[in-house]
Amino acid sequence: MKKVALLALLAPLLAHADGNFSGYAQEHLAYRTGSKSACAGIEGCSVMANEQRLQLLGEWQPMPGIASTLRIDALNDSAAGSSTILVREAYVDAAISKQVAVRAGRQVITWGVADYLFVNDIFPKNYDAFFTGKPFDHMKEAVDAVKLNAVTGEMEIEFVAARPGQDGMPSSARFISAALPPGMTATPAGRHGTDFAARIAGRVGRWDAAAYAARYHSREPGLYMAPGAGLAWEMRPMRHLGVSATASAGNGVVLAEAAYIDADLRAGNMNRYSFGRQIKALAGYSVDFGEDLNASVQYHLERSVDYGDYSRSLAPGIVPTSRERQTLYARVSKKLLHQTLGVGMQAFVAFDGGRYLNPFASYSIADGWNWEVGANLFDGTATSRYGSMKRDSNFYTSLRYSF
Amino acid sequence: MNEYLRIVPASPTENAAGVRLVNQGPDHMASEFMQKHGKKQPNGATLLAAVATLTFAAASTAQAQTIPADEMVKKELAAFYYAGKDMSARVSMRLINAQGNVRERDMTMLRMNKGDTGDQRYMMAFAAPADVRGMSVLIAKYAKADDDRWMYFPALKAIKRIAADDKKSSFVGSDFTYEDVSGRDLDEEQHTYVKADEVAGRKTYVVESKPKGNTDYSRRMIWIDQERWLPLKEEYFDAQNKPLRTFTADKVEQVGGQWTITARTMKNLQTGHRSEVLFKDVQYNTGLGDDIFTERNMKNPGLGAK
Repeated sequence: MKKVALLALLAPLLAHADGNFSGYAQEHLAYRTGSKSACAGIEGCSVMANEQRLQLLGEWQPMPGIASTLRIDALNDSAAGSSTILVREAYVDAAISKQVAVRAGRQVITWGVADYLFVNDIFPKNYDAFFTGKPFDHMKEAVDAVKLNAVTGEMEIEFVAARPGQDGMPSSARFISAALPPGMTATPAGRHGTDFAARIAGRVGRWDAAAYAARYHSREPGLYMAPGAGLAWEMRPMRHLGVSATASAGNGVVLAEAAYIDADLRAGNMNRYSFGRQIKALAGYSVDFGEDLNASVQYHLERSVDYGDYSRSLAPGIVPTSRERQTLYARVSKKLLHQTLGVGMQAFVAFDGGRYLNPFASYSIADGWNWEVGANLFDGTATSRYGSMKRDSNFYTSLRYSF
Repeated sequence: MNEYLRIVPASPTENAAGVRLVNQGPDHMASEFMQKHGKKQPNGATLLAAVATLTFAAASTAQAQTIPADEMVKKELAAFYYAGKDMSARVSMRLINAQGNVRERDMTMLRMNKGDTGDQRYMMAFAAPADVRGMSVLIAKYAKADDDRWMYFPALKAIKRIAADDKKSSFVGSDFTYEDVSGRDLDEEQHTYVKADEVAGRKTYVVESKPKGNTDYSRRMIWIDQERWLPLKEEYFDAQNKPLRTFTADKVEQVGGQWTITARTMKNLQTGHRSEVLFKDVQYNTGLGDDIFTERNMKNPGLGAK
C-alpha cells in the first residue's frame, strides 16, 4: 500500500518535470485451460494471472550528450498474490565523444539475432511473462550494468560489466511444472561476482556480423543436491564464445547464430536441461509475402560436447536428456485493416517429443489502445520440457492503454 | 524536448534560410533564377532579359515533349526522392478510414543520398502514437540491389533486421507502400509518354508506367510538373485495370531551394481509406553523415546527433 501511495505521489511529479513522459496502464488475464484438479494447492490455479500494471517512463536530456531514463512499474497480480513497484530501468547515458558512449544503471540489453530461441543473448529473460502470454515487451529483464559502446567506422564494440541477473522463471504460484515436490525446499542462490560480456559487430559485405564473448553466471538457477545440506539453487559460472550473422535475401532475412558454452557442472545436478560444455547453433529465415503476410522458420540445436561429464553430474534418479536437443520454430502472421488487426500462430516443436503452440491476435482499437488474445498450448511426452507443462496450458488476454 | 530536436539539432543559419524560402511565390522563383545566373538584383534591363529568358524557357518546355519518357521519370524520381544531398523533416500522417475514423502517426524522417550512386539511407523515428513511440526504422536503399531494413524495439533495446516486400507492404498501416516512401528504380517500370496536361494550373507531362515485376498495381499514370519535375498526381490501377489508388500533391513549396511536396494524400479508391501526410520543418543539406544512420543512433538518437 505504501508503494502504491509512493507511485501516486511520484506520477504527478514526473508529469510536471521537464522531459518526455509516457507509459501505459494494462490489464492481463490468463486462464488455465485444462483440469484444475492438479493445481488445487497453488494460488494461480484457475486464473493463472490477473495483473493490473501501470508503467511510467520518464526521459530527460539535461544537456547535449547526457540523457537519463527512468521506467517504473506498479503492479498487482491477485492470481499470484503479489503486489509491488519495480524499477524496470533507471540509467544515465553519456556520450564521451562521437565514437564512445556509456550507459550506466539498470538497463535491458538484448544481443543476438534470433526470435525466442536464444543462442547469444545471454541477458535475462522473463519466461513467466512469456508463458502467460504477456505482451512481448515483457520478455526481457533488466540488469544492473555499465555498458560501454564504441563505434569506429562500420564497426561497433560493446563491453558490459554487470551484476549477475536471473531469468524470470515460471512462478510456482501459477505453474504446476515449476513447483518443487511437496515438502521440499531449496536454499536460494546468492548473486556474487560480476558478469563481463563483450560484443563486436559490423558489416561484412551485405551481412551484419557479430562476435560475442562472456564470462557470466547462469541466468537460470540450477538445482542440485548439496552434500549434507539438502537441495540448493545455484547460479553456475559460465563462459561463452559466439558468432551471429544476418542478411537480406529477396523479400526475406536469413540469420544464423552459433556459440560454444562452458558451464561448471556440480555433482548432484538436478537440471537435466543444463549441459556442462555444449555448442548451440541456430539457422533461420523470415520472409514477407507482401500485403503484410510474414512467415519465419528457425532450427535450433544444442549438443553436449562432453556428455559423460553431464550424465555423471546428475543426481540419482534424474533422467538425462539425449546428447542433442533440437527445436523447430515456425511462425506465420498477417496484418489486416491497415495493420490494426494482427493474427498469427507460432509453434515450437522439440525433437524430444514436446510441442508448444501459440495462436495469437491483436487489435488496435484506437491510437494508444491495444487488445491481445491468445493461447499457450503445451503438449507432448511428460519427460519433455514442453510436455511437462501440459497442465499449465492457458489462454490469455491483455488490454493496454498507452499514453 | 521533442524527438526531432534530439535527432537533428539544426544549424540556426540553415534553419533560418529554410524558413525564409518557404511560401514564396513566382517573384522568388525569378529571384532564384537570377541568383543562379550570377545576377544580384534585377533592374529594368535585367528584367527584360529575364522575361526574354523565361519566354525562351517556356518555349523550350513546350517542345520538351520530345524528352524520352524514361528521362521524364528519371527527373521526377530525382526531384521527388533525391532532392538535396540530405533532407530532414517532421512527418505527420493521418490515416482515415471510410467511416471517417482517424489514426495518427508522427515521426522524424531523415534522408541522405550516398553521393551519385543512387544509394540512400533513411531513418524514421516515431513519436506518436504512444504505443510506437521510440521505435525507429533504418533503411539502406540500394540502386542495384534489394534494400536492407532494420527496426528498433525500445522496450527490448533490440534492433532486428526485418523482412518486407517493398512493393506491397504498407508503410505503418498507411495507403503508401514502403516503395512509395523511398522510391522506385527507374528500370523497374516501363515508361510511356501519353500527353501534356494541366494540374491545378501547372503544366504537366503525363506518363504511363507499367511495372515489370510483381506489384500491387498493373500500371500507374503520373502527372509530372514540366518545370519542377515533381509528381502532382498519380493514378494506380489494379490487375483488372480498375482504379486502385490516387496520389495527389496537395501543397508544393520551395524549401532551401528545393521544390518540395509538403502535403500529399494517397487514397485507396476501392476501400475509401486515405492517408494524408504533412511534411513540416523540412530542411535540406544540413550535413547529415553516415554517423547519423547507425544502430547506435537508432537506439539513442539524442546522443548520436551531430
